[in-house]
Amino acid sequence: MKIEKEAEKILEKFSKALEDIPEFEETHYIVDNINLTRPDHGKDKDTQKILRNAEVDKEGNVIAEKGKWVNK
Amino acid sequence: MGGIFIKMKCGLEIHVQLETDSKLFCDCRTNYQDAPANSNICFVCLNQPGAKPYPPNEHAMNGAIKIALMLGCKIAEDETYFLRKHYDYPDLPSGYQRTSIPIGYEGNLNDVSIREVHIEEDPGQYKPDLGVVDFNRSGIPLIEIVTEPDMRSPEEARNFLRELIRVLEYSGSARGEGTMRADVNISLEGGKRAEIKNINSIKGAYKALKYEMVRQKNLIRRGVEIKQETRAFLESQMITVPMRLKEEADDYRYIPDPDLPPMLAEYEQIEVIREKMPEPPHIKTERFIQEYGIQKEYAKVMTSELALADAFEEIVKHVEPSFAAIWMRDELKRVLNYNKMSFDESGIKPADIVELLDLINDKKVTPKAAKKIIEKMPKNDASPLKIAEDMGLIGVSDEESVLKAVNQAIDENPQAVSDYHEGKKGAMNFLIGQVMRLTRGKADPGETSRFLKEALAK
Repeated sequence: MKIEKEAEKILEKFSKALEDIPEFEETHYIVDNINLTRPDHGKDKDTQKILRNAEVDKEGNVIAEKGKWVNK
Repeated sequence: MGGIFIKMKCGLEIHVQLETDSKLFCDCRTNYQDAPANSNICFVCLNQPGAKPYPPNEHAMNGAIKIALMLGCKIAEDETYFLRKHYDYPDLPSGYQRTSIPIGYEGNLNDVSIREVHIEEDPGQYKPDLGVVDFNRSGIPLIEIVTEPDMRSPEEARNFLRELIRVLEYSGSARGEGTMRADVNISLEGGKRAEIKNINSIKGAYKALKYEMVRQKNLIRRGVEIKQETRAFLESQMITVPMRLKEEADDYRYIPDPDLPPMLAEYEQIEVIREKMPEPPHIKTERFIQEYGIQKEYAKVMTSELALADAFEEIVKHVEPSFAAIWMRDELKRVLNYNKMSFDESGIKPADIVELLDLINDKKVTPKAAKKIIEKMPKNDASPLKIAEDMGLIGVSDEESVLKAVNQAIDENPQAVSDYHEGKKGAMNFLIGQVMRLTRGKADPGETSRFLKEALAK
């Protein structure tokens, strides 16, 4: 009962606090950027660190599970 | 067995890699076919915890707009953004694929409506039979073209795909059929839609559709309900097998990717791309028919490759278009096909073709000799005239020499003469061939035929 009353109080306060917030247009983005692109330049990569924990075969392929439908 | 006609509807989702140096959201290289397995990878394209995508690759974004325009699409006027499409598969370390909302929509190619064009990232290369993954491909930009279910047969789907690949090759912004992966939706009247994945070629799409059409028809005939499902195409066996029950959009749990800013194609940006983009091949074909008065079959061959189409337009500034088209379709394409090379790869220049056709027109070589010359032209710096001189093909035999060869051919081949009088058509061609041999191909075929007929009538 005590928890229920406290929860109601919290909700009331929260509702009041929301009343003061102006209406915003909905957005999915935290930054106000648009048309941000980068030039197309490729670079060679050192993959030692990223593959450190990967289980690989002798060709360098990462070992995963076999497709279940293949031998059907 | 009495045949039952069942209508078929087919739509395609075609993915082709865009031609870029770096991946869509990181600067790893995209030359995955030349690189050792898992050498072009980083924390971003493997979506490791904490790794954020770079801003989208500008070249890829512009390439997608260019292809959408070439397919007659409208370009999205509002902001476009990337979504996370969630699914669980060994080629996708993040558990989601980044895919944009449509960049272009409502296009058309050869009477097939294009529903939308969007951009997405390629997953890694998973080999289900071996259970291994190479992530070099992970994050390479892909263009996805989605059609309406407007195709009514496997043949229509094949024709559409051929035309589409031609548009993509013209664009210069996409890699060719070698990187194509198609998902095919097929439904027969009275059945549910099945999606076939894992199709890697135009031939594969055709074979998969043929197989699936027969399979579904047989089930419908037996009164078995067609399930809505996703099937895999096993190219080695040319059959389709069940993969999983088909996901609906809800199953993918699409959410906007908060790590990537939205995009807006500006009017000026679209116009710059439109101005620079090549004329699409299907439009060029129609123009060639109208402008140069050549037949449709010839126009289609001339526009089969951008470099060939450009060469044709250069050549017809100097040579009569239908004469050029006949030689380019019948002889040049024969030689290119035999050598398994494109016009661009052959090193043949428009000026070389003009020179060869001038040699024929000026009666410096016979058409038969010209056919031998054109065979030597690919990857050859020598001009057609020089090739003709080196092969001793310059000159057209005078009337006296041809008459002499005609008489010799008749004297040496009594059986052929007898066959000719008995009405065997092949005998005349044989005798013409003998005259050509005796004159080293320098006799005019029309004149030879006339002389032979006159001599044989005596």
